Parts: sequence; structure tokens; C-alpha cells
Amino acid sequence: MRRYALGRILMVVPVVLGATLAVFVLTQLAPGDPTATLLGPNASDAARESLRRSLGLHDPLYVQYFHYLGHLLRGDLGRSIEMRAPVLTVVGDRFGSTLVLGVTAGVVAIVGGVALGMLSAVRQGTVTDRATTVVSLFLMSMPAYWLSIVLIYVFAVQFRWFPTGQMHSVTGGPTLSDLVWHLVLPATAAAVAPLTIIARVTRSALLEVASADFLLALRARGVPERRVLRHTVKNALPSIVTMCGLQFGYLLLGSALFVEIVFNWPGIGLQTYNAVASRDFPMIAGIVVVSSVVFTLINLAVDLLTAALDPRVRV
Amino acid sequence: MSEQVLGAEVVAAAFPPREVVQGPRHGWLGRTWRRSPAGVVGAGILLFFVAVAVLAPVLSPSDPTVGSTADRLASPLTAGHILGTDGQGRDILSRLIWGSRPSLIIVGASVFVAGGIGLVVGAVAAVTGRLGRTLVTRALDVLLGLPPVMLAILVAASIGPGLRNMVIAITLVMIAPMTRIAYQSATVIKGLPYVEAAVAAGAKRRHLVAHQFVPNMLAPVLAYAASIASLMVVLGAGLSFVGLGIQPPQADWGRMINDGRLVLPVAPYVATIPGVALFLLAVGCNLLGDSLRDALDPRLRT
Repeated sequence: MRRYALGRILMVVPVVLGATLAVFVLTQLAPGDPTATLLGPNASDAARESLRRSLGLHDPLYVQYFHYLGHLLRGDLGRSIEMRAPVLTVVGDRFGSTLVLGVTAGVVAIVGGVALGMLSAVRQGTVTDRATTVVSLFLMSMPAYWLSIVLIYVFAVQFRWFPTGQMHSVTGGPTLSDLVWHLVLPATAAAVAPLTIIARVTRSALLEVASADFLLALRARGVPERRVLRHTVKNALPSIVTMCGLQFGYLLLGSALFVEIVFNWPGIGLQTYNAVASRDFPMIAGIVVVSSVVFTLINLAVDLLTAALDPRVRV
Repeated sequence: MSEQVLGAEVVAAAFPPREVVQGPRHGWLGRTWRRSPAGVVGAGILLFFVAVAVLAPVLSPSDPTVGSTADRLASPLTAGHILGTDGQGRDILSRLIWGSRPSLIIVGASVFVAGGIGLVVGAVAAVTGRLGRTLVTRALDVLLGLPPVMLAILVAASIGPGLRNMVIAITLVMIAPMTRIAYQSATVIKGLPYVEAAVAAGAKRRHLVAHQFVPNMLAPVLAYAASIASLMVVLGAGLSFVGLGIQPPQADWGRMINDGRLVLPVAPYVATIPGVALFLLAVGCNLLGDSLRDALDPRLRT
């Protein structure tokens, strides 16, 4: 296990390097002259030339990449054009809100999905199972940003049960109950699709194990059904955990971003949306770098957890 | 002559054709329907949207990009505007019909390109030595380590908006997962007797890739492509939703949903109707993907 864990942790380095390389290459493709953005359109040619020199824009690309990496390692993600602040400060500030939404939705999706999948597997072939399968197929096809709009219209505009957006009420202090009240709709919108996908995978993982020979052997030996079930779950767990982790990553750095935009949730999704609208390229690039690091760490945690649960993975 | 005909009759009587025993004759469609109704429904939905996209100039009742302020926010079922009009007085049905084009083009083109790349890279990696395998698996590790939505947004923001650039962005997102599936099925195929036989018969690597690997990898890759296509439909419209895709006044479902947010309290249908179309297309892809996967792997059948 220790050898596997070490190798897997070292794999983070090339993955993060690859992400920074991708961001660097794409930044080169981005339109616009950096000196024009920094000095404004009326700067003299001489001033631009000296800025280009001091920024190292005349250096070969690989030198510029290493400069970029050096800045990243010192926590310098560049300055946001729109916010006139270091990108890292803004992203760090917004990431907390994204985590609040993403982790809440993730917990709902994982707990609900695993429970639903188990129910479906235990009652394989019954009406419950078939209904779950059909409904989950429909729910997983719903775009999160569209579901958010539908939820807002029904529960915020029509029934007025929940707020239409934001993270806290304008008046009053940021209390927990106020936060929960604001969380219900966006967390639901972000959780629905991953919940149904986790339910499907849980179901098929359990059913795949359920037909295994070793369970027949256990039953033949008279092992009570409760313990047979425990063996089933234990053997299905690695693939369920893998899928839960993957879905959590996609949720946090995928569908939740769109949900944030619709609900005006002050996280990195809304920040990305605003950065796109104002062509704030350093901000977009910074957000992608930070998200890639977070995504890589989530994947690392999932792989280590799976390896701890399943000795076969460790080879 | 007559003996031969008599012989045929005897044979036919001794071995009655199956449809005589099993009831009325079913065509290809009927057999497929009985085996997988969900798959037929999914394929039907996809064909419907393809037909709508192709026939858009004929079907569309009015110009999708021009509206009149007098007709702003007409509710559905208004005369002349079956699905109503949006905030700029444009006919929603017409925009819906034309908006099917970018969605289908993006998904179709990116599945085709990413699938093709995945098949070739996966097969080549399987027949080359250890170096090729290591290179491909390590490259996949890096690419799959990038969050897909963020990657798409970054690419689209860098190379600019528009249909062609959206195809590029979505293709780049799809290459890694498609190649992974292709490579996985190639490693399975590599251990099968017919590949061994071909190698023993002296087949060259090029022949192995083109005639042994790619044709047999096609089915699992296609099944995966259909499932992932539903995610890409949603992601593609999502790029337009964020403002990185199809630019106004061109019709696009994601764009229409975002435009409708402004008038949601007074005219909820503007944002919700294009979402229904998007949802149906995603359901079609998922149904097709599921039944293709079931046909390939009966263990997972629901």
C-alpha cells in the first residue's frame, strides 16, 4: 500500500505540470496584446517596448513557460484586469462559497445516490427498481443550469418558499439558517444529476457482485443473509467509491459552476462567468489552474481510498 | 425440375420457418423494437432532431433572428407564434428549430473526430511496444486530470467564440475519455485468439490496426460515445449559456435559456422551452447509449 500510495502521489506532479502547460499554451493563443491591457490604448510605443522587455515577452516560449511556472510556485497567478487585484486572492475568496455549495450537493448526491442504488439492487426487477431506472435516466439528462431556472421559477417566484439567489440575505447577519435557506435550491439543482448517476452505478456494481460464485459458496455454507449482504457491499464498494469521487469532482468543478451563475452564488463559477463577459483572461487562466489542482487532489484522494478498500488495485 | 420443387416443399414442411411458429413476420425494426424499445425510442429522438435541423429552412415559420417589438413576450399558443415570442419579439419555435443545428453539429463533429482519434491512438498504442503504451497512458492521466468543463471554457475563451471553435473545444474535452475507452477495449482484443492467429500468420502492425483492432473496437467506443454525447450536448449549450459559444443573434438553445433568465418572472416559457429541447436530445442520447451498452454487456442489463 505504501509503495502504491507513494507512486500515486508522485503522479500528481506530471498531471499538474500538464495542466499548467495546457493553460500556458492556450494563453498564448488568446487574442489581445498584454501591453495594451496593462498600459491602456494610449501608451507610447517606447513604453510598450520597455514593458515587453521587462515582462520577458521577447524570450523564447519555453523560457516564458518556466517564468510562468516560477510565478505559479510563488503563488502568483497574475493580476485580474477587471478586479484590479491578485487572481489568487480573488479565487481563494470565491472558492469558499463554491465549496459550501459543492460539498453540500456532493453529500446529498452521494448519500442519496448510494441509498437509492442499494434499494434498486435489492428490489431488482420490481416496480420500484424499474421506476428508479426510468426516472434516473430522465433526471441525469437535465442540464443543471436549466433545472436551476425551473426550480427558481416554481419555488422562488411562484411559491416564494426560497430566495431566487445569492448566498445570504441582504439584511441581517450571515446566520446558518439563512445560509441553509439559500442553499436548498442550488444544492438540489447541482445534486440531481450526480445522484442519479451514482444510483445507477451503485445498482450495477451490487448486481455484478451479487452473481459472483463466492456468494453462492457463502450461502451454501449456511452463512446468514445479513452477512452475505455485507460481503456483497464490501466487494462492490471500490467501484462505488470511485464513481462517487469522480462525480464529486465533476459536480464541484462542473455543473455547480453553471448553478452558481443562475443563482448568483458568489463562487468561482459566477467569477468565471463575469471574467468571460469582461474578457479578464488572467482571471480565467488562474481559475483553471486552481481548479485543476483541486480536481487532481480529489482524484488522488479517491484513488488512495479505493486502494485502501481493494487490495487488487495496489498491484 | 418438378422433383426439385417437390424436394423444396418437403424441406420447407420439415423445417418450418421461424416466423410461422412465432407468429406474424417482423422486419428489422420490429425485431430491434422487441429487443430494445428504449434504444429504438432514443434513435427515433435523435433522427427527429436531425430531420428538424436539416429541414430548418422549410419548417421554421419565421426568421429566427428578426423580431418585432410589438410582438414582445407573446405567450405560447398565440396566433402566428405557437410557442410564443422572446424578449425581442422573435418567434421561439423558429429559434428552437434553427437552434437544433449548432447542438447537433457540435456533438456530431466532436464525436466523429474525437472517436476517430481515440480509435487510432488506442489501437496503435496496443500494437506498439511498451514505450507507446506508457506514453499514451501517461498522456491520458494528464488529460483526464483536467476538469472537463473548465478545459472547455478555457479553450473556448482562448480561441474565441463561434461554431467552429466550439467544435474544437468540445473535441478536445472528448479526446481523452474516448481514447481511454478505445485503449481499454484494444487491450482486451489484444489477448483474443483471432489477434494471436493474425500475428502468427505474419500480419503487419498496420494490418492489425486497420483490420483486427479498429473494427472490433468500434462497438464499445460507439456505445460510450452515445452516452457521453448527452453530456456534450449539455456542455456545448452550456458554453453558449456562458457567452462563449454561438453569438447573438444566431439561435442556440443554451443562449436562449440564458436570455430567458431576464424575463423569467413574467415569461417563464422563454427560458424553459429551449431547455425541454435540450433535455429531450440528451434523453435520446442516453437511451441509445444505454441500449447499445446493454447489447454489448448483458450483465448490466436493466
